[in-house]
Amino acid sequence: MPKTAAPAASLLLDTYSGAAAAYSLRLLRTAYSGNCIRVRRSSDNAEQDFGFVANVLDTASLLTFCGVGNGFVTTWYDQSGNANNGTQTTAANQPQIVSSGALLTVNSKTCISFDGSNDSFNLASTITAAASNYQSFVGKRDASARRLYALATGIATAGYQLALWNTNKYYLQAKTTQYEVSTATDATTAQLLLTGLNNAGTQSMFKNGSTITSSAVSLSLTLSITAIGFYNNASLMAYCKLQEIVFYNNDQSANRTGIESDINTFYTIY
Amino acid sequence: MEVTGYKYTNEQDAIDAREQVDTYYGIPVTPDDVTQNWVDYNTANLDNPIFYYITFDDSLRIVLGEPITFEVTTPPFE
Repeated sequence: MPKTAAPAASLLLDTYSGAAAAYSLRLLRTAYSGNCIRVRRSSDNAEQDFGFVANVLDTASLLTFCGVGNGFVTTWYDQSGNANNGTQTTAANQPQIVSSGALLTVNSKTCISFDGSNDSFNLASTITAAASNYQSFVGKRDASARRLYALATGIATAGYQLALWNTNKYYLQAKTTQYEVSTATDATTAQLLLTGLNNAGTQSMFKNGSTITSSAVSLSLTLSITAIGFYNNASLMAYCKLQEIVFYNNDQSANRTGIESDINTFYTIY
Repeated sequence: MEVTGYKYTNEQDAIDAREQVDTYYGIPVTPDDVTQNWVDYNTANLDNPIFYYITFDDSLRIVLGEPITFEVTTPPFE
């Protein structure tokens, strides 16, 4: 399903170009001509790609394809231009997007649901996080004490992650010797826009555009990003719904409010 | 962490179990599909001796039989 005529309006990555990786259920870049997701349907395990209509996922075609059954995402295509797609080759580990013929949604917009047990995507190539980097993502957990995160490392000796963890604390691991942890807990189950940035050693986390008060803790880590929804071990899987992830491997602190504003304008989170 | 599933002492047995399930469910449907396995196995590499396991899902019972419950050592987050 190719992309169909996109309106001329400037999209997120048109305005804030240079993302290292970008995954969404809306079109993020006018020049991106690829698909949005690839889905396996439960009725016969057939797979099909789905693109965009009017700059959002072609949900009509997706629902027709899935019928009254379920749909599971095998591939979440990278819209950055780097082709670093997230894929899941194991059926049982594929996050869900259609349930019994109905789209899964958060705040009336389509989402991808990770079951907290084994659902995740592996990235086509490892991203080695630079000294300055930036991530924003939109997600929701349906109960407190679940793990809400997007990009992460998939191996035991590395650590990149921006998360609302099952301890109900926020974490950002974005520097080789430290991570940030929030000083307060947050049991929220609301849809969130979370941002984590590391500006050459100064780390900050933001929830819905506002600073999360945090402190740094020493920890020795090597930074690599290899997955969506998989951190370190099969017991630490994401248990949440995701809608959009953008990652820049450079300093975007000056653009943070602009990026967040664009995302919030579309998702109406706060 | 307590896991319900299927436990194997050597990796080949886990691979064989995975293939049994793939055969039953006809995965992959076509060679070009992204989906190559119905289920995958995990390695309990913090346990000594290391073992391999498949986490239970209802779809597995008809192929692999009744699951068991066992402990898997997991790392702390921090």
